This record gives sequence, C-alpha cells and structure tokens, in this order.
Amino acid sequence: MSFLAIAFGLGSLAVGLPIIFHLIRRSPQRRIDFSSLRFLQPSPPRLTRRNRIEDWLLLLLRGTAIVLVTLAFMRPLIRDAALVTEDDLAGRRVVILIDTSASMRQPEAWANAQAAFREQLAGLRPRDDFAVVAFDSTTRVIIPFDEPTGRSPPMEKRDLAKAALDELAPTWFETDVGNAFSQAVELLESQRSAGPEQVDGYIVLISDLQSGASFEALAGIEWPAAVRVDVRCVVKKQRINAVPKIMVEPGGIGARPRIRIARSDGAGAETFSLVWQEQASEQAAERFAIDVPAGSMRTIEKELPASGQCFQLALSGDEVDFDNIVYLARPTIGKQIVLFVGDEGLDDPAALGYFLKRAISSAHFQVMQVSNVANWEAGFGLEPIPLPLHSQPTSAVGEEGATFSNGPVVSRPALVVVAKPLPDEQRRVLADYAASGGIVLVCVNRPDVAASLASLTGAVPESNNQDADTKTTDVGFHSKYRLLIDVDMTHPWLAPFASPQFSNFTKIRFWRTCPVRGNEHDLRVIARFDDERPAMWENPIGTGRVIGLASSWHPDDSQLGLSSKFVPLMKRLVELNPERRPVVNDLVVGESWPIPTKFAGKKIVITRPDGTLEECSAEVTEYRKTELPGIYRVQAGDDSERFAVNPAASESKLEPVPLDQLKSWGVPMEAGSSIAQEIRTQQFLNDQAVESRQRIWKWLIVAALIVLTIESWLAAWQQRRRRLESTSGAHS
Amino acid sequence: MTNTMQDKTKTAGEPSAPRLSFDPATLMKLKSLELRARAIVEGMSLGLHRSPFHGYSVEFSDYRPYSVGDDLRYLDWRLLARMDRRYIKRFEDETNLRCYLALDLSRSMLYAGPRQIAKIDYARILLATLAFFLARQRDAVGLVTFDEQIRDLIPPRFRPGHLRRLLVALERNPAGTGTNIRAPLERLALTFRKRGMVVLVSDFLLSPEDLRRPLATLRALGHEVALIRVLDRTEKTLELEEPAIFVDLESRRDLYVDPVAGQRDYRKRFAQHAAGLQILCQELGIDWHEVFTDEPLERSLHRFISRRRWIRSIADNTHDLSMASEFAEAAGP
Repeated sequence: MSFLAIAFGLGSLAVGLPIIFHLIRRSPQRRIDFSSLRFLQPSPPRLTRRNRIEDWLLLLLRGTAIVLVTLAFMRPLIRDAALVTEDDLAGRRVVILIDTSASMRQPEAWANAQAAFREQLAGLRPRDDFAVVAFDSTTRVIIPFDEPTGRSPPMEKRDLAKAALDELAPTWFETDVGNAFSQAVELLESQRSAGPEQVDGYIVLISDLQSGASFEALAGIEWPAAVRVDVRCVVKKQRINAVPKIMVEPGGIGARPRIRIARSDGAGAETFSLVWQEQASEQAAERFAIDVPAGSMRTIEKELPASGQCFQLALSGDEVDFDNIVYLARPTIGKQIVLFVGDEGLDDPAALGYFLKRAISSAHFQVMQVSNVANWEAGFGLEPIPLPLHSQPTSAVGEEGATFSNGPVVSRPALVVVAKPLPDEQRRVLADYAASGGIVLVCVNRPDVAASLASLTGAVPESNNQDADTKTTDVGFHSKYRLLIDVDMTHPWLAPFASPQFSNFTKIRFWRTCPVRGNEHDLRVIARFDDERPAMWENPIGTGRVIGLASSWHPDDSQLGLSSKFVPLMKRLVELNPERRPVVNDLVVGESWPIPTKFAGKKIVITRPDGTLEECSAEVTEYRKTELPGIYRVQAGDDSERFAVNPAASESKLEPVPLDQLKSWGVPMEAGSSIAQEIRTQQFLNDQAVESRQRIWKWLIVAALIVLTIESWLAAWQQRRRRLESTSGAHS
Repeated sequence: MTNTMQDKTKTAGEPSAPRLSFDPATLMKLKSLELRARAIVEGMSLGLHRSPFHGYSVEFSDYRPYSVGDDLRYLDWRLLARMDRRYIKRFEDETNLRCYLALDLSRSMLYAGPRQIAKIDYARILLATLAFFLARQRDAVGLVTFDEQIRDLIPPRFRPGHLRRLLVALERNPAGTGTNIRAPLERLALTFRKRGMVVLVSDFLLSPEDLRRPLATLRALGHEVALIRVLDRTEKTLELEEPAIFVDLESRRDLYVDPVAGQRDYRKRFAQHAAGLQILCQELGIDWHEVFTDEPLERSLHRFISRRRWIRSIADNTHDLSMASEFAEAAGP
C-alpha cells in the first residue's frame, strides 16, 4: 500500500486535537466592554478540566470517519510494478552547445564551462543520446549523435566527450548564438526524422551569455514543439572591462590617431593606463593614463611612436585581459586613382569634378584631374601619389603644403571619367585602357563631346534635332524636364538598386540632355529618358566597359549630383573594375583579407602572429585564416604588405543577457533536473496512473459514509434514551 | 414676563416631589432628545411651581434718558410722541445667570451595563433637560463637549434656535479614546470671563488630583461648579456573574476578571476613588452629585436642583446672619 498525496496524512492529526483540547482546559471566551479597568485586578484563569470522555464509542466512530476521509484524500494505491530506476527513464536527444568564442577567455569562464559540461554529462540519463557542438561564429560538431542503426556504449561516448573537451579551447572568433541554436535544432530535427522513435529534444547551452553574442537572431528561429532549452551561464561575477579601439579615419591613419576607451558598467577601477608599442623594436613608448567613468566612453588623441609601421596599443588596469591589446598596421600601398579628364578643376563648386571628388575620395581612392591623357604610359606626367604618412591626403597634384614619402607609383586608374572632347590619340589611349579591363564613364552632356567620343561610346548625336521643347540655343535644353524610364536593374552597375526601396529613379529630373542614337545591337541601353532616347548605355570594349551618360550630374544639367543615388552610383562604378582591389589592413578576426592587386599572379607567404608561415598560391584572391589577433606580414618576392587583425568589438560586451530576455525571444526554456528528480517524477507519474486505475479512495469514502451513518443513528438513539430516562425520572 | 414674575412671587418653600416619573428604559424609546427633555420638564413642572434659580435670573426692563451717541433703534418712539421725552428702552431679555453645561464624550461613557442604558444617553437627556429647563426660565445656556480635546463649544446665549443648536451638539457620538477634563475646563475658564454656573457631567473615572487644578481655577474665577457623576450600577458594585475578559472601552486593553472573586476588592477601590472626589469637591466648594442610569431622570434632576436650592438657602441665610450681626455691631448697645 502506498499513497499518492502523503501530505494529506497530516490531516489525520486533526482527529486528536479536539480530544486533547477537550481533555485539557476550557478558558472563558466571553468579552465585556467595560468603562475602565482602573479598579479591576486580574483574576487567575479559572480553567475547567474534563478527565473523562463520556462516550467512547461515539468518539471512536467519529475519529474513524475522519481518518477514513483523510486516507481517501491521500489517494492510496497498491503498486503492481517495481520502483522506477535510472534505466526506466525515457531517453532524450541532447545537444550540448559549448561556447568557444573569444569572450570565453575572460577569467574563470572557460573553467566554469568545462565544469558545467562535465556536470551535464554526468546528469545524462542512461538512455539519452547526445551530441556536443562547439560554436563561436561557426559551429563544429565535436561528438555527433549515434547512428540510427546502432548505439555506442554510453560510458565510452562520455569518455570520448570528456577527452574532446580537454582538447577544446576558446578561439578568437565572435559569438553567433543564433547560428548555433539553428544548427542544434537542425541536428535534432534530422535525428528525429531519421530515428525510429519519437523522443524529446533537449539543448543545453553552456555560455557566458555575453550581450554582444547576437542573441536577437533567436527571435527568428522556429522552435519545434518537442525541443526544450536549458541555459547554463558560466559567468558568476560581472567584471570591470575596458576596451581600447583605434579609430581609423577615412583619410587614413595620421600621426595622432584617435583612441576610444569604453568601460563597462559597475563599481571598480576607473583609471587605466595605455602604451603604444612598435612591434619590430619591442620598445614600449611612454605609458599614459586615462580616466573613464563606469559605463561610459572616452576618446583621446595620442601620438604614435616616431618610427615603425606596425603597432600595438596595450591597456592595463581592468579585470579582463583578452581584449586589452589592439593592433595597427600601416599599408604600404597607396590609394587608387580615379581620373577625371576635363578642363575644370576639382575644387570649383560650379564644375563637374567637384561632385566627383566628394563622392569617391576615401581612404582607398583619390580623384585626380588631368586635361590630357596622351602620355598614359608615362603616368600622365604626374608625380607618384603614395599614401601620405603624416598628413591628410590631397587630391590636387603638386599642391603646396602636402608632404609625401617615397613609395611605388600608382599609375593605372580604377575609373576614368571623361567630360570633354578628346583628340584621336587620347581616345585611342582610353580605348586601350577600356579594352584591357578599365572602366570609362563619358558624360555626353554636349553635342561636341558626343561627336568627339562617338567611337568610344558607340553613340552619335542626332544631327536633326527637332525637339519641340527646345527653347534656347543650347542644344538639348528643355524647359520641360526629362525623367528616367526603363531602368535596367539587371546591369551590374545598377544591380544594387534592384530592391524596391532603392529602385525609384523617377525623382531625378534632367533639364539638359544630349540626344544620341546608336546601334542598339552593339550597345546595351541601361536607362532611357521619357522621350525614349538612351540616357545611360554601355559599350563593351574588350574586357572593360565604356558607359555613356547623355547628360551630367551638374546641377545645371540635372538633379543627379544632388540625388542620394549619386554617391552609391559612383562607388559602384569603381567596384565594376575587376582590377580594383583596395588594400585593407584593418580586419576583425575571421574576416577575409582581399589580396591586393600588386600580388596578383604571385605566390605569397604570410607570417602569422604566432610565427607560423603559410603559403598562398597565385590563384588565391582572399586570405581567410585570420584566426588570431595580431599583425600578419605578407611577402611576395621583394614586395611586402602587412595587415592587423583584432578581436571583434562585440566580444567585449560581457554583460550577461538575462534569462527572461531569452524567453521573450521565444526560446523554450526549461531548467534541467537531476536524475533523482527525474526518477521521483517518473515514479509519481506511474503511481498516478495506477491510482487512477484502482481508485481505492472511492471505497474509503463509502466506508466513511457508512461509519457516519452508524454514528448518527447511535447518537440519536442515545439521546432519545437519555430523554426517556430523564422523563421517567421526573415522573417517578 | 408677568407670568414669570407671578410664578416667582406665588411659589415658596420646598418644592414637592415629582408626581410623574419616567423609567429611563421607557424614556430611551423616545427618539428625539428634545422630546425626552420636554417630557421630563413637563413632568417636573407638575410638582415644581417655581424656578429653583429664582433670584439669580433677574429680568429687568427699564428706561433711561437718551444721551447723544445712543443707538436710535432703541429709542422709545411712542414715549417720544406721547410725552416729547427721549428715553432709551432697555431690553428685557438680559439675564444674570450664565450656565455652562460640559459633557464628557469619552468612550467610557458608552458603557451600558446589563440594563442596556448607556451612560452617555442618560447624560445627554440630563443635560438636555437642564438646558430646556433653563431656557424656559430665559437663562443663557452654553455647552462644551469634550473627550481628550474639546469637540463642541457653544457660548451661552438666550435667543431663538439656540436650544436646538445645543441639542444637536449633544447628539454627537463619543469618539475619543481618553478623557482630559483639564484642557476643556481651562479653555472654559479662558473663554467665559463672566461669572456663571458650570455643570460638568462625566463618569469621572480619573484621578481626583487631575481635577484639582482646573476646578480650582474655575472656582477662583467665581464660577459656581457642580459635578454630576453618571454611573451604571454595575460600575459601582461589579455585580456581574460570569468571569470574562474585560475590555477597556477607551484603551482597548483587556483583562481577565472573575467578578465574584474580585468584587470586594473592586468596591473598595471604587469607594476610595469616589471618596477622594467628594473630598476634593468639599475642599473646593463644589457641588457633587452621583446619579445612576437606572434611576428616573427627573428624580435625579430634582435631587440636583433641590440640593442646589438648599445650598443656596444656607448661603443666603449665612449672608443674612452676617449682615444682621454687622448691623448689630454698628448699632451698638
């Protein structure tokens, strides 16, 4: 005999209480409101004691009835099966997700993660199948699920998992929890569809739950109904973390780069010291201190060491070390050139080049203006334009006040923009440039330009212009503006604008257009004006492109220069050049390094921060193994380059995300329980099933009713008898 | 006025006992306090043909010659028309007696006892009757109700509607958790400078020493003071049968008491306290009355009035004797 609700057994004690109270004492309960207690003295309590119970049988019957009701509430059952053991617990599929991102390098995090992992392994049921998945920005299945055809011995698999854990270590990659959960759910679903039995899925996340870990992606995951998630946060204490960051300006790195220090919230140190160190010399510069209040940022400018190309900035004074060093490398390759062929300067607001310079100039590109492109091979007669070291870059050649260091000449432009008639010789130069893969944009805003560059653009001006809207002597000037229609979003130039939110070109008005015509079999019209004449077209020459624009972006001609689409259009044009490969020297761990054009076709050797060497063949265009933070040095013959790789800033956001927040993102949270708890729960469920089958409580209630009936009859009989006795006594 | 004067001259000697008496329980069935008071006064007037306060309230009507600056509203125009003389008419309703009624509204007054007549109800009717009685005699009556502080303070007046105002104030229910007679009496002494009579109704369940100073102040100011102690019979005798938990109505403190066991001790203490109060009153020349809620009200009132008249006659006699002796001494042998 067992009971399902043992707590109700305490109710049987209530049987004894009235008896005890009856036997012990009765104190007066009458209360009198009296005017004043001034003259009253407290009396000792006058208690009455009853030592004798008058009717044992009635008391016994009443007590029995109460006990029977109590027993019924306890829901007794007779177990017809053995007790539940570990082996009886239903098997689950458990995915243990262990975070190996850079933030797990914070103190105690990895040790706690290992302990949590071992604890989780120990808490698995004998019939559980589990997989271990390590994740940072990517996921790696360390221990897969068993094959549906057979199971490996549980203890052996656990030992295997423990051994795999010993080999695991935090990486320098950032965290992508959303991807990890997606993979885990996918893993469970694939097992569920492949396996013969339907078992519950269980995901255990062992992580520091740092807020920079892209948790928002969890909101987009569709959680299967049978999947539950248990989250183990391995960070028990919030630590003070200060993170330095070097702000790279669009114009490059000056002599006094800006340094931003961000400090986490919480009480603790607010003064941190920093030091610049040149990597080659390993000689540290003078330390400097900075005060950063809790939860805020400060930005300062601090001079770099006088010499050197690779630096590291080290911070000290906080409690988290892994993100205290940032690396900086200066590129050895100068900017690429965008050549503007026209008579007007680049700084005249009334000129075309003014808008072009401001749209394209950046850390990687520089706009230059020439009038003559005949001496192409001689580098247009220009001086070398490498990256200035200690001054802002300038766009005008030979501008006074600019200081340049020696460096390789950048001779081949990434883009040539022509806005003036050119003689044959120069047209040939541009045609050769285009044929060898270059991009030429021709602004055909005047008939003379159209006529002069017709061989280049493939379109000739219409000789007999009968446009009814022409009001002035200027050819193509319309009092009624033109709009663009038939914009070809499949062209590579306009492909980025294909999305509906960017594809509206109808707000750009053109007042001055140059009507042209060409063989449309040879040309590809990208857009037309609303009079059906070509507005933009491409004339493919060799491997390159010549793009014609039958107007210009000058405010006198159109609204294109003032449109929000102008800058992305020009940027995109530069990107169309297959040779364009800007030198990137500031990467985050995991980002690919595009191998610069100067190394094209060469085998390069890369020295990693840990000193290991790696060779890349000539065909490789990207170097992807940026797994470690530090300076990577690239060597190809006499040519060299370097780039810096730093940990992702998101990894330094260490504040743990509250578990409630995870719930709000739809994660089906359920705290895990120990095997003993599971056994108790299972035993309870089994007992409940047996009890609902046996229903002994009904018989107990019936018995109680019978006892109460007897008690009522007996009490009534005794009362009647006493009354009769008293009546007869009175008569006698 | 004429009738009043006739009453004053016609009646003499001891007032006879009231012929009609109301049982307090029956009286409580009357809802209106005014009705109760009127019923008692009417009952009393059957056996009481003159005011016990005759001689104190001298109603006076007179003329005096007009002088420049007098209010012309009070000029007797008829006399002026008839005799061509300017006389100012002096009002008839000026009175010499000012009576201040003071009622204790502390929660202890809510005690009702086995007969279910609350002390406060009894005291209300007592004071209402007294006010009604005095108002009929055209005396000015005021009222102070108090517990630990003054709740209502109505100055003595004689004007239409004043009696009703007093009755409304008397209807206020007790709310206080304590009794502080000292503060209201001191306030009374500060407010009412003119000499008069102060009738203080309470159960006086407080130390006699707490009463000494305020009562002495009142006496020093020349007021006549009368204390009427309203008690339930059981408060004096503790004639309750079953042991119970006694709860103090004011402090809500409780005490388990077996009345049978503690009766003797209680009576002794109560008697000591009452004796202390009486000694205090004797020392200060204060009239002391003890009434019980099971007594007919008019009897209690009659006893109070008779006793006052007796005291007064002794005082008058004493005064006359002293005057006579002074005259004899002055005349010489």
